[in-house]
Amino acid sequence: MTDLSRLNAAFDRVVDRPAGEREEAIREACGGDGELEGRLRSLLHRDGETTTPLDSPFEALVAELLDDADDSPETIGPYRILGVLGRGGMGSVYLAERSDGAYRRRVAIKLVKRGMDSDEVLRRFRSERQILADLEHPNIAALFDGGIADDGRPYLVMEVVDGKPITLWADERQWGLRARIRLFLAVCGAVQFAHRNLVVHRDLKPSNIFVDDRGEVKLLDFGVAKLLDGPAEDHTRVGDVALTPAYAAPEQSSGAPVTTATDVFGLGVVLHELLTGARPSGRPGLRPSAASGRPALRGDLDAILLRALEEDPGARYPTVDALVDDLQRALDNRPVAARKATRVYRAGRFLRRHWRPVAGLTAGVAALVAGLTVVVQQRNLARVERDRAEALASFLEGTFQSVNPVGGDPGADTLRVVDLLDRSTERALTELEDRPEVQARLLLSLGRAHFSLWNYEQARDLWTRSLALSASSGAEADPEVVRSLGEVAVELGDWEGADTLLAAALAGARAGGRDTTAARVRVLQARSALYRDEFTTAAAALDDAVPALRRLGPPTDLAGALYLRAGLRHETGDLDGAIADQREGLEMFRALRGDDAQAAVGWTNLGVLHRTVGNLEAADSAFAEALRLHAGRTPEGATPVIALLTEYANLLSTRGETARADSLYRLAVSRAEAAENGGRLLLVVLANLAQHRRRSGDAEGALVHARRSVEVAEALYGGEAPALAPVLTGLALALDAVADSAAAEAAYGRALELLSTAGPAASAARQVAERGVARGWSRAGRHAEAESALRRLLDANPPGSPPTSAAARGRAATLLELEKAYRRAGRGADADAVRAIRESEAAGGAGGGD
Amino acid sequence: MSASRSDEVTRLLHRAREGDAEAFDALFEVVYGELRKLARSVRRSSGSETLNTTALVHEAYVKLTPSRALDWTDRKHFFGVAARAMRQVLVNAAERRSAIKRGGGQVPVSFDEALHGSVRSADSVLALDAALSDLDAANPRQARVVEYRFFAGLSVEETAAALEVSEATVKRDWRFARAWLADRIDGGT
Repeated sequence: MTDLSRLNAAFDRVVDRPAGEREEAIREACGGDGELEGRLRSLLHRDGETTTPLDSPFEALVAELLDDADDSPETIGPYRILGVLGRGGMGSVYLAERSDGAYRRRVAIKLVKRGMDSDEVLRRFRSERQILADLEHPNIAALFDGGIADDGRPYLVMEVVDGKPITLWADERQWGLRARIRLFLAVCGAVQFAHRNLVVHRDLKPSNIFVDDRGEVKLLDFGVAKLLDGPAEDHTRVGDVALTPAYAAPEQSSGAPVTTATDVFGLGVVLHELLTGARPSGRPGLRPSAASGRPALRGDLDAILLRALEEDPGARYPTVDALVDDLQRALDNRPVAARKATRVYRAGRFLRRHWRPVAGLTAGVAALVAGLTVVVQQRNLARVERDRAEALASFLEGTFQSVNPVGGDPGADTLRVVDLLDRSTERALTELEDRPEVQARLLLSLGRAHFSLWNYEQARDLWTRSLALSASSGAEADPEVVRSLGEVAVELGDWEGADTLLAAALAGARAGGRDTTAARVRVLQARSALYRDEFTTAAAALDDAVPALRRLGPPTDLAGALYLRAGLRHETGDLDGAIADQREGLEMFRALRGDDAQAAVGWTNLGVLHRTVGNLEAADSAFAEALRLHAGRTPEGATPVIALLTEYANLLSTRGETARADSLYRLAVSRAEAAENGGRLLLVVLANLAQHRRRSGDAEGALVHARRSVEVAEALYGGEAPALAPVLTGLALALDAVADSAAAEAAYGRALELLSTAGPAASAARQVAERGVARGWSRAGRHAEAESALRRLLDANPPGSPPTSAAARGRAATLLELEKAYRRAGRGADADAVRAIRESEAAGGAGGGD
Repeated sequence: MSASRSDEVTRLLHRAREGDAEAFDALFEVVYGELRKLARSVRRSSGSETLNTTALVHEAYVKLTPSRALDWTDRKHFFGVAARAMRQVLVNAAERRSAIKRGGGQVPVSFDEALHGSVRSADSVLALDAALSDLDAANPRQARVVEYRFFAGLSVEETAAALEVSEATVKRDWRFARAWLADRIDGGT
């Protein structure tokens, strides 16, 4: 170790000497000390440099570091900040943990930088929050929470991912091609999931794809992602989003619409880097195996990479599913679709093989097949014009609507139709692969056919694919497809999904001037609200939709809207209006389609209405007509049939025809038991059956069915769900009837306990359940309890909430329940008073809405 | 600056001058806090991507000392403390960033790739700090020269006055320290 002061002295002696004298001065200063001379020469060399650490005042750095230090708040919301994980132009990501000790888990918090909280950035923030909230997937970094910091900036609380970028991870383990492809398939799974939820990531790159300690893939940073079903103007504007140029698809730089095909490109780049160690060469057509000198990629993998990385989005794999499928084929050594000649050959053989069995079906189905074949042949002969394809698709759809899916032998024919649909779908996908816009339209029709057969899952799958196809061909999301997805969500009781989809469909339809679709969306929004007891919302939606449909004219839609309004008016007590609507809707359907299942539903509704106004004879004949029309037309386990059987049985029960009622209830029970997903129906039937047995004096029988209804509900919802509460109230009523008052009290107690744990008193779920319990009490004649429960609900949810809010809708429903309870208790004046309050609040809400 | 706070700073300066270590620490805390606050407000109001350390230190001086000029000795002490504080501000910020970035390969959720560059610069602050501490052990005066000039942005003249040495000495010290630190940081022993 050289003595610093000797070095310093030598340096001082030499450094100012002119260049010519330097060598001599060095030797002189060091006096033969080789080590000292070496050190001195090194320092002199440094002295001549202009870029030593002290020459770059850390000004840029100071700003950056201080910004970090100073911008880090101590806390954000209930989180204590532990440090900075990263920062960028838009804001910072902090490592944090809960400061209130609610849980110890560490989280990452994204916070917008001060001064960056422009509308655009805030919009992106909100959109990321919305997107992540909907994307619960093991391979997508989760969103835990979000909120507004004290200074008004929004933040997101996310899962901290402890891992490494996918490429680094695989390299460190020296994984081979097959292992890498399997790892990559997990990435595709996450992207597929996002696409099914109508989200495009837009910025896929290795540094956004982490693999954690357990080998689990995690997709990060949906910061620039977008919802496919967002407002229409978003589709054409890529805008100034923070993309990563090296990974961006060509359409992202050119400003062309961003679609799911954009993510296919991004996945292609990631796969390329994962398999070759480098990003794509960027030279069109150059095979990756040649560009990277990796012969192992020759053939299938070359073809797959090139297809995914096509410049033209329409030439890429239309969906991530197709990419995954091809990779799987490559892994299995089956021919891949990316090698086109093979595909055409296989498709030809497929057609020949499947022609015969398909042709053997009923007339309507044969017409359908003919239609499809025309599409395929036209396409093979020349190019099908878009209009032509549209017309054919409409024809196909029409065929399905007119075809009665169930012939004399319902089971067998339904199966065959489903089978046929599956084949048509497969064919549409393989034969028309380069016409995604035609495929998208066909899938809409095929989905509709499935939907009309109550195959909701398949319908949803086809529609989701249709959206992805539209997106991949650069078209905007078809609001009709989005609306259809919303319809499935409504049918499956997925309220949140329904709300989101329908709002998007409405925005899309209005932006595109598609008034009919907009009106249809409003009808669906009304149905969704009606299912949730949100009568004010339902009424507002129908006030929009019915006049629009009268003007625009699709008569089936208008008829459907009238059915719905009849149901709404029934609920809100406008019975004359309800009967008029129902009659008009029914007549329209009969004129259009004759006596089909829709007419049967219309008769059912009329029956219910007649019974409510006390016209029991008319109710009986309406139900009988509905039963006659359903027979042989509608699958036995379909919701409308079971609902009819139950309603008819209820009527017979009130009329004292106990034996006939019993047999209809039994029929309903057995069909609900047999129906797929029939649990909810079974619950309804059992509850009504229990009530019937009690009414007919068979308290013991009532108890048996009430007990079973609780079992069914527990299986459906779990033992702790607030939805159990009304069912337990039913059990309590049955227990009361057998004079087991201790057990009855216990059942009531359990119901109340479930409600007390069901979140804040004002939460929608709890309100629905508490209303159910109160309704049970009211019907059982326990008027005081019903009244106090409903009053409590009203106190917890005072007036003044925004008119469209869940709180306002919940309050309206509670007021209506209270009005009905007073009527049952014979307190007409009180009922009228509540009605007046309800109407004035509804009017106030409507008046203040704009 | 409120009168009471500037009085407090003056009092601390006096006590520190008399060798009161606690007073020095307290003074350091005040100056350190003020520098951070200033850096933040300058950055927020100008939106500038760069910050001049010299300006910050002088600004801190104006904010923290009484409107009547401090006597020379106090002024000298103040800048001594400020230079040290500025160094510490940077080092702390760099350490925080560097430590978090390294902790178990933890790099998630980035807004963009800018992150990578900043880690490197954080590392360079830490490397300079370590080398400067080594220099401090062998030749404290040279370390002070670097602190005054580099972290507080004092001129040669101001530095010479503060350290009570000639300007030539400051220049010589700076030149050696500059070469030595560069050598040290770039893998020298």
